[in-house]
Amino acid sequence: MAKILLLAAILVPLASSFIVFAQGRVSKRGASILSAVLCGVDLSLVLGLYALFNKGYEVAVEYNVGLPFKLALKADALGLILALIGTTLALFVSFYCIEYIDKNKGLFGTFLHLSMYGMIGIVFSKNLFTLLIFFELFSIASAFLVIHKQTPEAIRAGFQYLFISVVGTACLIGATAILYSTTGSLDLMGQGIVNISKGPWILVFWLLVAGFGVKAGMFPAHIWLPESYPAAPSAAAAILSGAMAKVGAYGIIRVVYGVYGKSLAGPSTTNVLLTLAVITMIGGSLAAITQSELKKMLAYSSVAQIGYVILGAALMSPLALAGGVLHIINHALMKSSLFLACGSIIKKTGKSDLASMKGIGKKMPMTMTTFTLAALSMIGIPPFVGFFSKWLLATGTMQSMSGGNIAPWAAYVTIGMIVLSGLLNALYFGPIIINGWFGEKKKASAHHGHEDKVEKIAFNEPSWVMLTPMFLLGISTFLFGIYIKIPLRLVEKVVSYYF
Amino acid sequence: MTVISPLPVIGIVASGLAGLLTAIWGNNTRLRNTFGTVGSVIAFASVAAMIPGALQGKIYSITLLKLFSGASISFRADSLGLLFATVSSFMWVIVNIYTIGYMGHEEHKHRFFSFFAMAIFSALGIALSANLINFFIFFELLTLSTYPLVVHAGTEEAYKAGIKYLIYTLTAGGFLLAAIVITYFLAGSLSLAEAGLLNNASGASPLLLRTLFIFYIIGVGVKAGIMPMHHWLPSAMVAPTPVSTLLHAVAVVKAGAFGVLRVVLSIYGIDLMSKLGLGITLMVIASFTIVVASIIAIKQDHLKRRLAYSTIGQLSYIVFGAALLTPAGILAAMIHIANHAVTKGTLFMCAGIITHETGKTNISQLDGIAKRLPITMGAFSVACLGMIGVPPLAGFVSKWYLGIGVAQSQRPFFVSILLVSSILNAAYFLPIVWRAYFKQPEEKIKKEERESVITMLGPITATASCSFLLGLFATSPGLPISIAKNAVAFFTGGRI
Repeated sequence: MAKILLLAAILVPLASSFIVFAQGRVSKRGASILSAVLCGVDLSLVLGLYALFNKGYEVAVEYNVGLPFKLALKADALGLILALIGTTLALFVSFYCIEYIDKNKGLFGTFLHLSMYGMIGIVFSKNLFTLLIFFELFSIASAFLVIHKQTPEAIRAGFQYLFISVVGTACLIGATAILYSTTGSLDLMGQGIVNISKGPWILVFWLLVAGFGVKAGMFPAHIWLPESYPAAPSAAAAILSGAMAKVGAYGIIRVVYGVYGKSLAGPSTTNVLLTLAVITMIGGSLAAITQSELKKMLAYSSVAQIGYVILGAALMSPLALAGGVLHIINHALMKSSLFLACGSIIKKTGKSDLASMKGIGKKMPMTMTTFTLAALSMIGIPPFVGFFSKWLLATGTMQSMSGGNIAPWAAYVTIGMIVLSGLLNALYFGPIIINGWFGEKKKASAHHGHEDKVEKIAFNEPSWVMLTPMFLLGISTFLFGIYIKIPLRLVEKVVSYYF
Repeated sequence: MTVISPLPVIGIVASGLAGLLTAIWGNNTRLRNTFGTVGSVIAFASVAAMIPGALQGKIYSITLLKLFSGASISFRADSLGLLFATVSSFMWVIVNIYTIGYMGHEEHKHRFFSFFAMAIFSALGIALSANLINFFIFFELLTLSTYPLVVHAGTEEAYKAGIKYLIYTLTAGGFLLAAIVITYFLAGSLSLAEAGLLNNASGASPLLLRTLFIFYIIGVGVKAGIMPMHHWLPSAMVAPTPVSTLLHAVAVVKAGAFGVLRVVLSIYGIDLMSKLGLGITLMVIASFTIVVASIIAIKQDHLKRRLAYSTIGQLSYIVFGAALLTPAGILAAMIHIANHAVTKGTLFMCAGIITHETGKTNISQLDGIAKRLPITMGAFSVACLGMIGVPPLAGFVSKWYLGIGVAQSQRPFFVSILLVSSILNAAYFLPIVWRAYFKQPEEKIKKEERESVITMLGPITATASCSFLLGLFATSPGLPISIAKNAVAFFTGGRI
């Protein structure tokens, strides 16, 4: 039963992509509705897996393929978190897309499902070999989401994304080869491969981190990200940033905890990773401040937020890991609602530069409410979810210090950076919120000489098809903040496995 | 003795609901006024209902929701928190009525009243927080809910003030968060129910604890307007007068001052404070603020700006009292929350009436204004005398206990600060009163010009009489001193 469910969870998205493609030939709207329904099926399968896992079943499948390594799949806590996020976002996004996507609805659904197939495959891969197979496919399928609009810059961004993914995969393949030849194991889901200290383990570590870091958009491999998200449709950017870039961060957690184990990687290695994470976090935000286009700003903000997750992996303490994993969930909720809100603004006004968003709250109150909720969460205002990941990361830093993993000064600097990062977020989200709600009045007062007639406010919102998924995601950043226990219950399973 | 009871939440829920309902149905004037009035009365009644119990030593508390280990949404009405909650909910009842009168013809009343209620919601949450996470949550919510009020006028100047306000308060929030994280690590708990949480932090070096204290003081001190972190406060004067009243007398700056009391008393505790030499540091900062703010106040011609600098000075009395670390000093700090609320509340509401009725904003325009607005200027004068500390008004009681506090602390030099400050207070308040009563107005008063409406005159009369009440009957049970005494006994370990 468990095995069938696991296989189904991976294969149903693959089958769905063909079904949606076929349906797309017949009816465009039908294809996008069907795509949403099938995403619902995916989600319920993953939920079923989670229920089994919760009851203590071992959810795993293995196939001998005639090679020295097996094709092995397993659903553990961390993998399930990623799969849940992916399928949930896919459901919301594909529902949103029923109205949002104009051209090639069928193709969008096809590649969305194909990417989901890759993503779920990756997060349920028990060893690096299996992961690599899905990884390549995932890169190609998601590149098509970037290309979807087929404008010259979209195609360029898509190819850049593909190219950089290939480089990442090459790093992974190299690491896999060395790892297998020196240790004879490719296990990802353990608590560290036993013989890892033999051979060029530092090289392998950095190859693996580079391979996944590229996908995540970690500094200095982040360059593709601000190109491809703005080129992709907002709905695609929502799932690319909310779920799919997380695969990279997921990989880094697996490398640090699953391949190397918490004792082996050692402070000298993780401290470098920590530094990169902090640079990613602060640098991403600094770059976001300078942007004048909303989607570009959100893309740089995604870079910054990935920094939080990697920080959680690099700090090597239970609380920090909890913070990092929790931030995977939180960022999925926040960034997808931001991108969807951005999409609905573009849909209705055709513009996405920050200057034209003045006073938009009056015309699009639901969209702007969603945006505000998610942005406040990004800034880390309690009791929104974003606050709790920051809190866990900061307390985790202290815990890491007392465990001797980082020096006291480094701990205090890191806490300072976490706080600073929140303030930087306020610096670029704050003006949007303020201009969005209060912006119009400013204009009126600038030339109050002649009397402006008060215009009757006409709402200009997209229909409920787009509003519902967007608003649900937005409000969830608040609800899950109050009921932070629910996501934490998932996160604790991951932490208790490694610590 | 701790009693589990929903009483602490009722006021918070009532104010939150009032804000929420106003946001939804606030376009209707009658509904909007009903929500505000009913909400404020329920909030005050539920807070006041805890006073008799508190006087017998009961502490009402309740946990609504566990967030994660060590942190929960929980409320606890200890005497210190109860005092602040009583003051803010009482002032809400009064300011709400005043606002209905004042905002009669303003725009965006809907938004205004909604965020006004949310600000009170946050202030009550701060007052009754049982742990630091809870405190931080409401502290940040207070910033967010007051921002739309500060920029309400919608002018270029208002937006500038708003940005300044956000930058100051959010940065402070960052410092506060860092401090809370480190405290959690050091003490292993975030509870605000102790007289010195950091006494549990046995391994911490004095340097770390001193640095942490600076973080805390920045974190809460920005809202309290401690110099040099006060710049946002005079700029925020562009807001409508009810907001200034809210900022200065009811919620925001008081939340900051209350935060200082929490840091000094609950987080560090007086023993640790004096061991680390932090009391004297804080006292010097507070003295500096008191004197400098008063001197700047003298130079201001804009009435509201003068009052703003006066607030900065007066708030530092609270900081000063706490920093004395003596029972009488702490008592003075606590009751000054109430005394300053009624007096400064009166002053701001009067300033609002003056502007509302005559359009005058500067002190130099106020010649003979008492003939035009006799009741307003009567209340104004009472409040001025209260600020200066003339017996038997409320301000006198605060200064009296501060004096005893200085004597107990055996640092007689600081008495001179109190003296100088009283003289400076007189120097910037009395000329206004003198001008209003004894100078001849430039234009003759026309017949149709009368006093303001009852919804505005009622509130100022009420607060002005309160400053008599809190002075004459200072020690009656139920009034601030009786509540504060319990808190002082707890934090000083029985010395009083």
